[in-house]
Amino acid sequence: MNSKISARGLTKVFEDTGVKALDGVDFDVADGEFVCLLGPSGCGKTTLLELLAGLTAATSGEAVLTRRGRAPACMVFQDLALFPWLNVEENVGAGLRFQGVPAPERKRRASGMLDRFRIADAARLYPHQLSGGMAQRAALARAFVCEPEILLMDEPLGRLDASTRRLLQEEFIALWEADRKTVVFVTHSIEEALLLADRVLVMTARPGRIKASMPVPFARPRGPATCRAPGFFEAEQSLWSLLEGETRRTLDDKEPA
Amino acid sequence: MRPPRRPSSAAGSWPALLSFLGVLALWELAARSQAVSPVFFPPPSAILGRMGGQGTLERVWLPCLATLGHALSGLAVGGSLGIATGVLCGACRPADAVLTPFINATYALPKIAAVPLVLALTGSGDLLVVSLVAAACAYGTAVMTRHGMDQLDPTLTLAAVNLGARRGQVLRHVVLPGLTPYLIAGLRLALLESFRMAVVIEALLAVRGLGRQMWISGSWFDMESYFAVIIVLAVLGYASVRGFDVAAAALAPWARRYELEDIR
Repeated sequence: MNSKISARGLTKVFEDTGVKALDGVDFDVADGEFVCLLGPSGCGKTTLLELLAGLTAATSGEAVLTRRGRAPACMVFQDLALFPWLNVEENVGAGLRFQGVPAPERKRRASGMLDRFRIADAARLYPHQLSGGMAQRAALARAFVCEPEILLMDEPLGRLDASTRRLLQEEFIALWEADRKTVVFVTHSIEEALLLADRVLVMTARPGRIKASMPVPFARPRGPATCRAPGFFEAEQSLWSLLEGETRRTLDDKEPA
Repeated sequence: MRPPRRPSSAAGSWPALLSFLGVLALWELAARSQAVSPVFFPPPSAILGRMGGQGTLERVWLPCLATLGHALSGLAVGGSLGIATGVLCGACRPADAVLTPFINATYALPKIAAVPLVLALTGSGDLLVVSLVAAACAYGTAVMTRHGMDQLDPTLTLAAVNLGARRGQVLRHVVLPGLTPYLIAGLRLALLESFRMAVVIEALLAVRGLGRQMWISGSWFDMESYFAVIIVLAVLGYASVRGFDVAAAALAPWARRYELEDIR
């Protein structure tokens, strides 16, 4: 397998609290593969993404990201992390600015991405003026414009209402199917995982480990019809049976999450 | 989608202006009909006459310039000092451990308590007033800046680093703008404090300025000049805060909303 991400024995213990978030996480992600991480709250999914992004250091183990170019592995944060003092266009161009891309090229690439995500009309608005869906698109555009080889996404659609979420899932699938980046996508939703991913990794309750890896059999391009495909219900059930016990453990855990 | 809140416009101040004019009209009537003593409460028309009359340059406008100079230079020095201290305390734990208890212990002391000490260092003059104004301004801005450092969103820093920002870029593009709402709030309070402090010290130590003029006019029962000074002070305070708000809204249009609530 042509592995793009290779995690071996990733373990993270937070020094200040002594909490063990991850315990020996092993997995590989192939080039161009879309992997969903599914797990109960507090199982260390966000920590795992931050380790992959190099934003925090592992206590032991290592994650190797194979890159062809200099483009970073871009992360889309759960709370989006748009800069409140920049308008949408400036937010989308922020990564290019940090990387020293000259202003005219930055502007050209950012506005191209605004068109692609259909938020060109909001270019001059600030984050506090955006609806949830628009803010979401802006955060995605900011990651896409850097042309990363790897996208790390932390429940990027988790804050949206059900119908907006569904529309954005469809948009996002279409965008991804166009250029097939390597994606690690954290979600709580089994349905979302089955709709988006090539493969679903199920994590245990804290400390997080990879409990199971399940390939998703449905053909692409996917869309609303995928949820009615034969085998969808069974796949949902088998993921739930893997997840149920872990979620119960998290619920019964007396320690604060 | 929430509509952006607009900064309060000049149109919003009409009710305030009308009620102010109403009070002046009542005052005028009361003074002219001798309902109140025109010696202590000269009618506003007489006060306005005094502001345009002979000797006004020496009695009102030169002192006004002096007070403006004291307040603004004190604000510049004290504000910079306060911001630097706040950033230092927020960024460096040992500095915080040393400076913050000191700031908290001396914040409540009236700055006037320091007059004899500062007087010995600077002598009685402009420098004395500016030093004490600076001290008064430094506290508020230091505390607000320190608070702002605690409120910086660590996720924004992570996002910037993930997008390729180096250390200097994080400071310039994440820390500084993140602090801006707190700097604005701290400097706005310090601006008002600077006028109060300047006037008090000018009056107390007879340094040139509106404070001394107010004291002298009051002592000589020159009530027209006394009220003229008070009116100039009120206009100065109002205009400077108004100007500050307009400048802040132009320089950081996002801050007005951002300072009030968390951004998703």
